Amino acid sequence: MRGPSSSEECGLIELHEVSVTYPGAERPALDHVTLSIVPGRTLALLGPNGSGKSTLARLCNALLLPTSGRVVVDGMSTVDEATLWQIRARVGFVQQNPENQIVGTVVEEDVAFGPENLGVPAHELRSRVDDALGAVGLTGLERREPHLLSEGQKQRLAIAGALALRPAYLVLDEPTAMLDGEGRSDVLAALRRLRAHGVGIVHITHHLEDVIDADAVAVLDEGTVAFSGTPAELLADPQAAETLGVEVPAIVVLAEALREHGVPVPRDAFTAESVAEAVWRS
Amino acid sequence: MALVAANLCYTYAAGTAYEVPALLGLDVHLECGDLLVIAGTTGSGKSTLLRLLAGLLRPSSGTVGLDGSPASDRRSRGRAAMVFQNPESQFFAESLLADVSFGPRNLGAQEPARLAADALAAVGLDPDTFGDRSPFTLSGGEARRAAIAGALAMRAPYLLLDEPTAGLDRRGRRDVVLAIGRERHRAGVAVVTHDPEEFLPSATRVLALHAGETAFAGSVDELLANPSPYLEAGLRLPEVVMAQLFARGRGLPVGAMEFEPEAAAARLSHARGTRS
Repeated sequence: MRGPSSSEECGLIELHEVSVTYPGAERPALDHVTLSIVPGRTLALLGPNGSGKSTLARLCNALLLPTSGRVVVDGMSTVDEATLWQIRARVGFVQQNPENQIVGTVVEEDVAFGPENLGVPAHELRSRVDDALGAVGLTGLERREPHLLSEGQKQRLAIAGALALRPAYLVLDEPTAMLDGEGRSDVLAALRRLRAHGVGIVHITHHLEDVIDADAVAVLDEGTVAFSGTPAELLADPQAAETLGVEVPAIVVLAEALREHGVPVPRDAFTAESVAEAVWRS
Repeated sequence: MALVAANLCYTYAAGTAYEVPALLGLDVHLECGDLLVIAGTTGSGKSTLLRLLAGLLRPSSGTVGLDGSPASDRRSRGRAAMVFQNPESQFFAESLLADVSFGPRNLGAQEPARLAADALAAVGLDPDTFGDRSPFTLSGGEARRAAIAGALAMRAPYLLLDEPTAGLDRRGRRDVVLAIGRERHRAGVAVVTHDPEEFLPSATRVLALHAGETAFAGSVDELLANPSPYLEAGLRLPEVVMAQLFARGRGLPVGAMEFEPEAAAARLSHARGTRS
């Protein structure tokens, strides 16, 4: 996977003082939000239903325009119609339900749909499809009919469809919400690989467990950024995180309770195994 | 009075070249007061099972009986209310109250509007605030709860829910779990889920499916005493329970498992103190 096609352009999605008010709404869905999204890094977006997460996601590739403030993708403003399709090609978007995003009759046709529509020549199409399927671990399933895939495979197919446009950024709105444990860990592994290949990722989720290794976390609350920092900083004060509506993983609460019982559990023990290990060793 | 399925088998497209056996020899027993958790990974057959219990599919072999009548019989109409996955895609009325009262009105209930208002309140949607709202203006969590209210309003003695908490935030999940829990005083409830974490602490029985067959059937206590078949079916237990299982695997005398982190911490720290 590659980043932006011309590397001399400064890569960054910047949201500057962005507000969005939907027609007829009493309060803004987003209220003066400033954030940046960096290639090769994952920004996790947390917050309860209705806090503005999906609104923010839709701003990143000009599916939605701000009521005030600016969204700038690699130097291009999303309100500038002249660069709209460049922005859309650069910022991939994956939604919660994979069923709504699959158009092809077989896997490889589905992945080719986006670049083919943008006029990518046939010889390049093949390598794009192969690269995208490889990145999400679906190599070998090119001729499979999408409805025969597992839910996790379907969601990875949706991600591959976005990747075939060679985006510099990928915005995912609760990509694991519909998946079982196995599908979820496969999708998370695919996202980690993409990050390592330089793709900037915005991962919207309710599950802090899914983004515990994110580079940055922003917590939205009623349209404003209530917290911005790293996952470890967010979890340093579990009570404060809960107050922000963040679902502190039960394992973190367990680790905290064990420390109160005098069991020395390390602060970076975020798995059942590492917590059990700490209890056993103490 | 019970919903009983015996030796249930179901094959999709039976008799054609495309036939796929989905369920093989399942037994289910559900009565008032029960919370049956039907767990399984994607494709394990759990949604097919729920449709059979609701009488929406006829079994290839075996039987489903609702209080003595076949589930697909006319006499069983309205006795098992089912909530599908993504029920919010099924709204049709102009107001939430009209939408939720459709079921009871159709079944000829007295005071359908009051049943609808009670059901909305039960899922944490104040009928005074939400009753006149268009169902199409709700947030994801509100819409899911409203759709569940549609099934609650029917006051069916059996409530069958397919992934009722998927995609909800913690508050939404808690509201749904509480609302479902409250129904148990008058109904038998079965919940199909790939992520049974929230439902396990209050479940009376757990049925874990793997490739259409029973991988585990028993009480929660039995599950925690012998979790291997459940875990091997690709299912996970809550992380707090997993930590206790790992500690027990390491040889710590953990004893009975706890779901709550604080109680688990007390048990683990005690186990650590008592080991030889």
